[in-house]
Amino acid sequence: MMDALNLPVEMISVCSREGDLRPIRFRLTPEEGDPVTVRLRGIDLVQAVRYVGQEAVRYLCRGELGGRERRFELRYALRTHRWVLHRFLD
Amino acid sequence: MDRLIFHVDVNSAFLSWTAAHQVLVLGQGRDLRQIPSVIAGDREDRRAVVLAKSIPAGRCGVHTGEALFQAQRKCPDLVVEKPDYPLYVSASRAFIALLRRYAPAVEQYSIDEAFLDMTGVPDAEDDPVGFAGRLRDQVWEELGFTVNVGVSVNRLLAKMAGDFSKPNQVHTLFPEEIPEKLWPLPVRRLFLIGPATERKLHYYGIRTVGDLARTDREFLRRQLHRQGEVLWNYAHGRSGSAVTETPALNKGYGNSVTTPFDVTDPATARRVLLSLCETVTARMRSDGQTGALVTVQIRDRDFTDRSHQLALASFTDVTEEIWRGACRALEELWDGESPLRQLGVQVSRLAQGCPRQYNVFDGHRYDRLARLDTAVDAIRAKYGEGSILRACFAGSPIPPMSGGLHPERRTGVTRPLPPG
Repeated sequence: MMDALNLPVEMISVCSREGDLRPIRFRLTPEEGDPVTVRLRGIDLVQAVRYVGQEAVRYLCRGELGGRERRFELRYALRTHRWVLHRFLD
Repeated sequence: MDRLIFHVDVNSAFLSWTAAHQVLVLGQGRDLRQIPSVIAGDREDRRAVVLAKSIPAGRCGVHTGEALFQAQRKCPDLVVEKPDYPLYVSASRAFIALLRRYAPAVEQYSIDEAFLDMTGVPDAEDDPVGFAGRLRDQVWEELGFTVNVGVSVNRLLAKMAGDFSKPNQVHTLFPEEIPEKLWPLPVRRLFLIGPATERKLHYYGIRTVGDLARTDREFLRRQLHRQGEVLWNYAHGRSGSAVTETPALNKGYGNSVTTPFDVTDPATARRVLLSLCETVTARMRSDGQTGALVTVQIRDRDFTDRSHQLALASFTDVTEEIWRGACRALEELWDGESPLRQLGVQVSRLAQGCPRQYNVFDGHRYDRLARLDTAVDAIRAKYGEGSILRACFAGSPIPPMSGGLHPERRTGVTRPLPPG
C-alpha cells in the first residue's frame, strides 16, 4: 500500500445540535502553486476510531479536485482538533 | 469455587504501539512488526538499550534490554525507532479502558498488561477460550495492536499461560493441564525466577518446572528458605493472591542510572548516589514508606553487575540518611577507581509509620532533615523538579535527580494509570 499523505488542511465544517461534525469544504495549501479549495459532494462513511488510543473520526468523502470527482479519506483528530487529508481512495 | 482469571499482555508493547501508530494513524506502508526492528533511545547516546523488539528481530537473536550497538551487530539491517512515551500512555489508557468494558475487576499490572477477574461473567464462564478470543480480536480491531490472553484459575497460571507462544494467541493453563504444559518448561520460565535463582536450582539438578514440582518441599525450604516453598507452590500452580483493583504497596524502591561518562572517583560516585537517593526517597515519602535496608548496585565497563547491602540503624525515609548508608555500602563494594558505567540504589525492608530508633550520636539531626525533605518535596510538587537542587549539583554534569524515567516518560508508566 502506498504511504498515506496526511496533509494538514484548513476546514470549514458544521457541528450539529447532536454534536455530529460534518466537513463542508477544505483548503489545501501546496508547497508550490496556489491554494486549492475542495467542496465536498458527499460523505460515504463516518467512523470513530481510536487506534493506539488516538481518538479520531474518519470520513470517506467525494469532492471535486482538478476538474474531476475524487474519492478521499479525511481525518479529524479529537485531541488536536486538526483535519488532515489522509489519502486518496481512487 | 474456582475463579476465572485472564492475563492480557500487549505483544512487544512499545514496538506494537509505535507500529500501529505509524500504520493506522500516520498511514505509513511499512509495518515495524513485519521487519527486524527495535524501539531504543538515541543511537549516539551510549545509554541506548533495546526497549522492545519485533519478532523478526528476535529471530536474529536481539534481546530486550541489551545495548543497541550489540543488537545492531547481530542484525545490520535493524530499523531503530525512538520511544514515544505520550503515545504509549494514551495507548495504555485506551487498552485498560477497553478491558474494563469486559471485566468486572481489572488489575493493571504494568503499562502493558492487566489481570481480569472474569468470575461470574456468564459468557466467559461458559466458553473461556471463545470469550478470550473475542476480547483479543476486539483489541485488534478497535486499537490496532495484538495481545496475548492467558486463561486460568489464578493470576500465576494465567500469566504463565499468556507467555506460552506469541503473538495474538489465547492459551489456557488450567490446573489439570499443569503436568502437560507447565512442567516440561525450563525452570527459568517460572514466574519470578531470575538468573540467580536459576543457578541455585541448577546446582541441585533442578532444570525444569517439573523437576521443581517433584522435589521434596522440605528440602527446598531448607535450602532456599521461604522462597523455596513459594517456588514449590508456583511449580504446582498455586498462588494465593487475588485480582485487586488497588495496586499493592511496593516491596522496595530503587532506581539506577547509566552515567554519561565512566565514574572513576569516589566523590563523583557519591554524588551520583545522592542524585539517585533524591528520587528514591521522594517516591518513598509520597507513599508514606520507610526502609531499613539499602542496596547499592554497580555495573562496570564489562557489564558485570555487583551489589552490596547495608542495614540501617533505623527505619527512615530521610534522603541524607539513606545516602550515607549507600555511600558506606559502596565503599565496601568498590575499589574507588575501576570505571563504572551504571550505579543503582534500592531501599527495602519497608515499613509504614515505624518510630525512629534514636541513637546518641545523631541526636535530633534527622528530625530536622526530615522537615527539610518535606519542604523540598512540597516545593518540587508545586514548582517542578528543577525548582530546587542541592548546591553540589549546581554546574555539575550529574543531574540533581537521577534514575527512573525522564519526567516526560514518567506519567502513568512507573505506576498504574489513574482511570480516565
